[in-house]
Formats: sequence, structure tokens, C-alpha cells
Amino acid sequence: MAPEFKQDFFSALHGPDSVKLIATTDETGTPHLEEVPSLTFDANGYIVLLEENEYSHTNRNLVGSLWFNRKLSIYVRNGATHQFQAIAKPYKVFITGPVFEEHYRAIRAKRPNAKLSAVWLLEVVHITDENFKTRQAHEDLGRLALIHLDQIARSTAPTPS
Amino acid sequence: MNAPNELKSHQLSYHEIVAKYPTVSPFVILKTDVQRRGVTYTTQAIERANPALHLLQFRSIFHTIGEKQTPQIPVSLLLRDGTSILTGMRPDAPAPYLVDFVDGRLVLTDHGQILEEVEYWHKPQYVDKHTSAGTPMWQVATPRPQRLDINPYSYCHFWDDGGGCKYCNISSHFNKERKNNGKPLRIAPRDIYETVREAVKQPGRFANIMLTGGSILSGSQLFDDELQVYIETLQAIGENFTTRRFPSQLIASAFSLDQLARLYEETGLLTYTSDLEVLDDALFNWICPGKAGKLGYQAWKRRLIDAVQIFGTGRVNTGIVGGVETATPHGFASEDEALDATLTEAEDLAQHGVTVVQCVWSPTRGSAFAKQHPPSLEYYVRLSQGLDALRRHYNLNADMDSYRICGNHPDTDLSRI
Ligand code: SF4
Repeated sequence: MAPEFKQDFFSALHGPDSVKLIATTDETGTPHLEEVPSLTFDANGYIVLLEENEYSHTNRNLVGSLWFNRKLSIYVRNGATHQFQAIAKPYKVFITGPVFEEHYRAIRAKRPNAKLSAVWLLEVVHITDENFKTRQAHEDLGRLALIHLDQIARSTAPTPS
Repeated sequence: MNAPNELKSHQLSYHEIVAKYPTVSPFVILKTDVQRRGVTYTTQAIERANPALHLLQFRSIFHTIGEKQTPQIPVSLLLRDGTSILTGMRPDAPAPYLVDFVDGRLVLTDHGQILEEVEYWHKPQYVDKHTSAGTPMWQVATPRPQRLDINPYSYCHFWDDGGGCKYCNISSHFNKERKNNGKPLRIAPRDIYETVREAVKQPGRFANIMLTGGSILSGSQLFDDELQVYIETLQAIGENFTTRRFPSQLIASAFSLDQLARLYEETGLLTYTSDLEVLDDALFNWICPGKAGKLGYQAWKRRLIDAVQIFGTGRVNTGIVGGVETATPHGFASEDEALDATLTEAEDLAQHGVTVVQCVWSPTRGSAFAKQHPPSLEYYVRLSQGLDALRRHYNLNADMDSYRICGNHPDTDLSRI
């Protein structure tokens, strides 16, 4: 079954002005965050990440994720209200072959000096709506609200009745 | 006779090794074991190989696929993480892995169990073309996923007086292929120039050019004629590029300092490799008698270290035939001893700026060691870990022989992260 919000997430990923971040971890669990404007998706529903630097922190962490089953997180914000986080795992990387070459040609057609190291396919595990109000409502559901008392303190003494 | 290692009960299986070494990539462990045990294909898997898309014909100095007397089969495999598995069909392998086509996917299997998805290597566009002299370009340069391999000279003259390395089949293979398929001894630099020119037209296809061949001992200095072959070839290749140096590797005999200086000055070569093959003086004498007799282990090693002065740190390495140090009857009797000796010597080389990379020893028909058996999978995993750890410790890297540039060294695969 497709993860909830998948269409919304992909629409947000498609937004021309979207902010797209990927968070990966290394073998010690240290996180690394990177903005990846080129993040997109393919016809099979995989998130596609074009890695331009062979030795980048993200590329190494993605290799580690594929080898050792570590998940990663992708955050997309499109406008003020469309914010999503996808938890994903690498499915496959193309460093050669027709898929790689197609992206290689496309990226160099756009930017003649561009390099391409790898085309990553990331499989979405689940997606959460990160819009603040939606997220807060979801996170607070069934919980005892945390309210600092100053927030509900009267600013003036009650008038004796 | 030794029992095949995979049949020895004390050896751990692929799954057991993955569980025992949780910090080593399971993909690299699998690749290692497939190279060690060999691979074969079901009919369904072979049917998935498309001659228009996949590489089914291949001519290298050690083996041939898709020529007369060798069927067209997939040249090699790629795993999901981009790891290459270089393994031809080994009809005599005692317990090969099996590539099958199951539920719409090509998969590696062992005893009926699916282990991983695989892909066949893709065919580059140049291979169907011919040079102006009429030579099929696939016979001039052989492709790997990101590398173009050129073997300008296909015979090794250490074999002239029985001094060929005992695991190597180069000259018996050449003699057979000359007879069966008219394989030439030397490839003309012009054919190489034209083939490279055609190959590099394909955007994103190649990231490196590797040259290697047999040793040529003649000349006024030992290896002078070999040096000349490579200089002429590299100069011809270099005409294709706008930069003075181009991504390249030469795997050749151990040249003297003067020869190395010529090689560097007169060509655009970027990196240099000369294989010590086995990191032990006495075993070198036994396993590589030609190299030992003409130069000797210590002089070979000295020349490698000298090469760092010319090419720079990180641009000189040496290959070993991992596991051949356990060959019988003179090899190390215990894997622990073999590993200790190999890594101690590799550390000495690392301290001098020379990295060591291993190929998995796969006893080959036509070599003196054809009937021997490689050590355990665990041995290879420990050797790969050890070589990778040395590079990290001495701040060296594996870039000149990486998973992408080469793909034949499990230890450099580990250096990706
Ligand atoms: S030097 Fe040894 S390994 Fe190299 S080609 Fe000659 S015989 Fe083979």
C-alpha cells in the first residue's frame, strides 16, 4: 500500500520553489543535513537523488545506509503550508548504464560544467505531514497538554464576587 | 588433493560471515564469495541478456567471452549498490553461485535461496564499430562499467623460460586465442587512438583508462621495450584529450627510476601500479619465479616506493593475488599466519605511500595453480578489512583503484564510506 500523503509529498517535491533537505547518518549515528534542490521522483515512485560529488558526506552516508539498512529522512516545504517528511531507505544506486547516462546528459544539458557521480533511488517507507498545526494536532492527540502555568495565569487578580 | 574449500565443514557460509562481521558491507562480502566460488547462469537468466544492450563479448589478457569456442554470456554483474562482480563463467568451479530470473528480476542465488538482485554490464556504443584499419573496436579495448581496458601486448615473456607466475594463465591463454581467434600479440597505437576517440564520445560512460599487458624483458635496460610500448600507446591515447594528464592507470612491470621519469614526462599517465602479487619474499621466489629471477622481491618493492616520488602519494599502488599466499605446498599453512604476514608487509608499503589492493584468487585453467583452492571467505573479509584499515590509518585512499574506476578489489569497495 502506498504511504499516506505520497501524492501530496510528490507534489511538494515537484514545486519549483520547494525547499528539499535530506538527513542521513554515518556509522556512528552522526546526522548530516544537506539541501538537495534536484530531488525528484520517478515513474515507479522512487525518490531520485542526483549526487554530483563522489566523495560527498551524503553520498558516503547513502552507501552506508544501503549496506547496513539505515533509514534517512527527507523534508520538503512547498509554500507556507505544505511541509512533509519522508522516511526512506536507499533501494539502488546507478553509477553506470542507461539510467545514469540519461541523467548525466540531462544535467549537463542544463549546466555544461555539471558532474554526476550517482543516481540514487530512495524508497519511501512513510510520510508525515509536517505542517505545524497538523503535526501538533497529531502529536498532541490523547496526550495531557503541556501548559506552563504563566500562560493561563490571570494578569490581574480576580474581582471578588 | 585438497578438498574444495566451500566443502570443508569448518568454513563459515556467506550468511554466517555477514552475521560475524556486521560492520563489513554484505554486498562486498557477497561479491567476494561470488568471485571466489564463481558463477553460472540458468537458461532463463541467459535469455534476459540482450545482445543489443548487454556486454556479451569480451577479450582480455586472461579470458575471453563470446569468441569462437566460448559462448556469448553476460561478461559480469553489478549489484544494487554499484559494486561490480568480475567473474566469468567457470565451468570447472566446484560450487558456483547461480544467476536466475525470478519474479521479473535477475537474482543471485545459492542453493535455491535468493541473495541479491543483479544487473548485467551494459554494452558501450563503440564496441560495434571498427577502426579505419578494419579492426573491431571491441577487440581493441574492453569495457568495464566505468573504465576502458587496453592490453597493448598480450604475452608475458617471463613465460619464455618457465618463469610465469604460478596463478597466471596469460601466455597459455594468448597461445590458445592466437590459434582459435587470431588474437594479435600487439595492438597498433592507431587502432587504440581511434577506439578511445570513439569510446569517449558516449557521455558519462567512462571515467578512466587502464593499460596492462605482459612483461617484456628486452631492451638495453630490463623492461625498456615494455616501457616503449606503453609510451607509444599512452601518447596515442593522449591525443584524444584536451588536458595534459588524463584519468588513467598503468599496471606494468616495476620500472627503474629513469624509466618511471620517462613514463611520467613523455605521457599523460596519472597513476602507476606494479604488482608484487604476494607480500612475502620467499613465496614471491616460489610463485613468481620470473620476477624473482630478473629483479627480486626487494628490488620490485624498492621501485614501487621510488614511483611515489614521480607520481605522488595516492597515485601508486600494488596489487596482490589475495589468498595465493596459502597455496600448497609452500604457502602459509594457517590463514592467521598468512594474514599477519601480508598485512605487516602491506603496512610497510603504506608507510612509504604505496597502497596495496587485492584481487580474489580464482584458480584458473592454464595456470600452474589451476587445481588449487582459494582460502576461506572469512580470510578474504579479514584481508579486505585489514587493507582498508591500513589506508585509513596512513591517510591514503583507494581512489585510483576504486569500486567505480576498477571494481575488482573488495578492499577498495570498503573504502567507499
Ligand atoms: S608478470 Fe606474472 S602475473 Fe604478470 S603477466 Fe607475467 S606471469 Fe602473469
